[in-house]
Amino acid sequence: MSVALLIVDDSGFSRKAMLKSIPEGWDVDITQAANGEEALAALRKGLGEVVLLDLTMPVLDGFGVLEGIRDEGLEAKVVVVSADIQPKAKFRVMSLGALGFLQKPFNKESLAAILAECGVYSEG
Amino acid sequence: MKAEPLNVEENEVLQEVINIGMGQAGASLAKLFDVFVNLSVPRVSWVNDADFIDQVEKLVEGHGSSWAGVRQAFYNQLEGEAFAIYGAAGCQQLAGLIGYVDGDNGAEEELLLDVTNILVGACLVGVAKQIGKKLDFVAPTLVGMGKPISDLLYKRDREWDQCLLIEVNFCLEEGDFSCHLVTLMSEASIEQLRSGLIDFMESY
Amino acid sequence: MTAALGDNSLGFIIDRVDVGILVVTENLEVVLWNRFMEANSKVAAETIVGTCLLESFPDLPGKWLEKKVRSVCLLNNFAFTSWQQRPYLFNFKHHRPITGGVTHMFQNCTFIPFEGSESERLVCITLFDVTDSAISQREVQQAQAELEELSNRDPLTGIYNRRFMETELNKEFKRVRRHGGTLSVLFLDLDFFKNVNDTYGHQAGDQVLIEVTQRIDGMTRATDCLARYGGEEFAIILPETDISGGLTFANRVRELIEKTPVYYEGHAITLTASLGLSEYDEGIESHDALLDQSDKALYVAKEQGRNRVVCYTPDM
Repeated sequence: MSVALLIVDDSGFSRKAMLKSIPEGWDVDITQAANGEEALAALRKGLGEVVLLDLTMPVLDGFGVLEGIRDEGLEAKVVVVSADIQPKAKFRVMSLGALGFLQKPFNKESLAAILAECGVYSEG
Repeated sequence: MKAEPLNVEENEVLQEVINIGMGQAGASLAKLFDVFVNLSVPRVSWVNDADFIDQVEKLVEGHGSSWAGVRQAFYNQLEGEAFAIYGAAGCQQLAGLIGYVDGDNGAEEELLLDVTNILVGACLVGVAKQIGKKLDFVAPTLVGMGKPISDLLYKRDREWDQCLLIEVNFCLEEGDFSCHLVTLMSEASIEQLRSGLIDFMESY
Repeated sequence: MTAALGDNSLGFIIDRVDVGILVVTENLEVVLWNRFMEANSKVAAETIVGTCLLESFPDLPGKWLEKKVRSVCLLNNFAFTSWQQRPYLFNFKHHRPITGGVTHMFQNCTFIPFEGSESERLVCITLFDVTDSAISQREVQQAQAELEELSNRDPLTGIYNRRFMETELNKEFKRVRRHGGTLSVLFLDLDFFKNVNDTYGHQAGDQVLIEVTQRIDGMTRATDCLARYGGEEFAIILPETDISGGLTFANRVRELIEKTPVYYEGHAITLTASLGLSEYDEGIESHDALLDQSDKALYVAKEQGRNRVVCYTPDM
């Protein structure tokens, strides 16, 4: 059965890069969101079992999305994909319930590794 | 010869590459001063030489009338000039954070130069590394302190027609230190930038 | 490396290049000390390599240097110092004993982080002698300051000109508006000055202006600002002065001018002056409006028969 994957990033390029880097064997239904509000709306519709979440975004940032997930009791496995690489940023998202933290720029290998580490998907 | 401005797609990649560079700069600041840096979404735009000062004035409009400016040139495959603008409150905030003695102008100036060097260094090196281009820096110099923006920028003919305006704001969690970063690049550099961005795009 | 360079070439070049080069560890232990450093510091490489830099140079800004080196290592980024903020890192003599007029070598420094052979963090510090450019820049700055001072002055009398006075008044105006206090502005015009020029010639007129200026100048406080506003008209900014203080001052000036003739080629030229005075109050919107009030008062003083002081009133 395919997994509902939500990709959240304000940069269209960044979303494209994530799309291209998703493991080929992974059966996913993909939804895209360009900011935190859009992401929460998709999550409420059950479109994000797994979320690849950017942090620095307009309207509502990634921290806000994590808080929304927590406050509304939404079910989502979140992997943060961020250019904000401060240790404190990582600590914050992990304490807000994110499963993993992937540093930008990423590639196929680093994305696959973090997905495996979070137990979301592993190849072979 | 005028360089073609970047197309929509190239601009989008540039935006992301700068976003990543800015993340690295924020992390450097955080490491050095042991504070959390709130990053905002960087805004990237291209402006004509003629509009340059107007655009920069718009950038800082409503944020006060007294500014400090530091310039830093870079050269090699990417060449140009970066210009960092700090508000008066931000300078004091920063000086307080580092524990510089009040009234020691030399120290405050040196601090601004250091911070500019770190921000510009991390941000542009971050960009250059991602797109595989070489970049070196000249020492930063202070353009002025406690002045209106128009006094910090020269209204004379610039050699380069295209200016890349990067609006980057670094805000410290415990204060309102913020910094605007403006970059000008040569036409040749814009071509280098484009080729690097295309390579970067294709690496995905 | 090309075949033409021998094994020792790089070492030779580093040693003999006309730039100070030293390499230190994160704890400021010296690893490399080139000939430029030796020659200028009189400390031999054999002596200093392997020891802490601060032992041989206790005058170095130790804390600052430690912080700088640490941050360069931490961020893995170049850092710079410029003579404009920090004239020198090492207190070396400069090589311009005859023409320099300074006591030390000005230096620009670059801090370059790199990894040593055992992957320990090292920092290469390069030190450029920029004494020549520092001296010429200082000379230019000095000349600029002199020019600026000149541009604020009236060439005949040497006191401030109108432009400078208006800038000063604007500053004072803003100061009292923000912080409170008093401020008065006095306008002075020599009566029938045209007669002096017509009777004794323009050189006599110039002499009168110079001497009257000197007399008024002798009566002002250091904080007052006396300026030639135009022709035979003068303006005096009187900070921290209310209307009664201003009136006392104005009358003293008027009396002095009346009592003391100016002597020119055997002629005693007698003079009188009309003065208009006004004081800042919160209802005044700008420094221009304050000037305008003093000007109106001066006009009334002329109308009323000259050789008198008139204070501004709203009905003028």
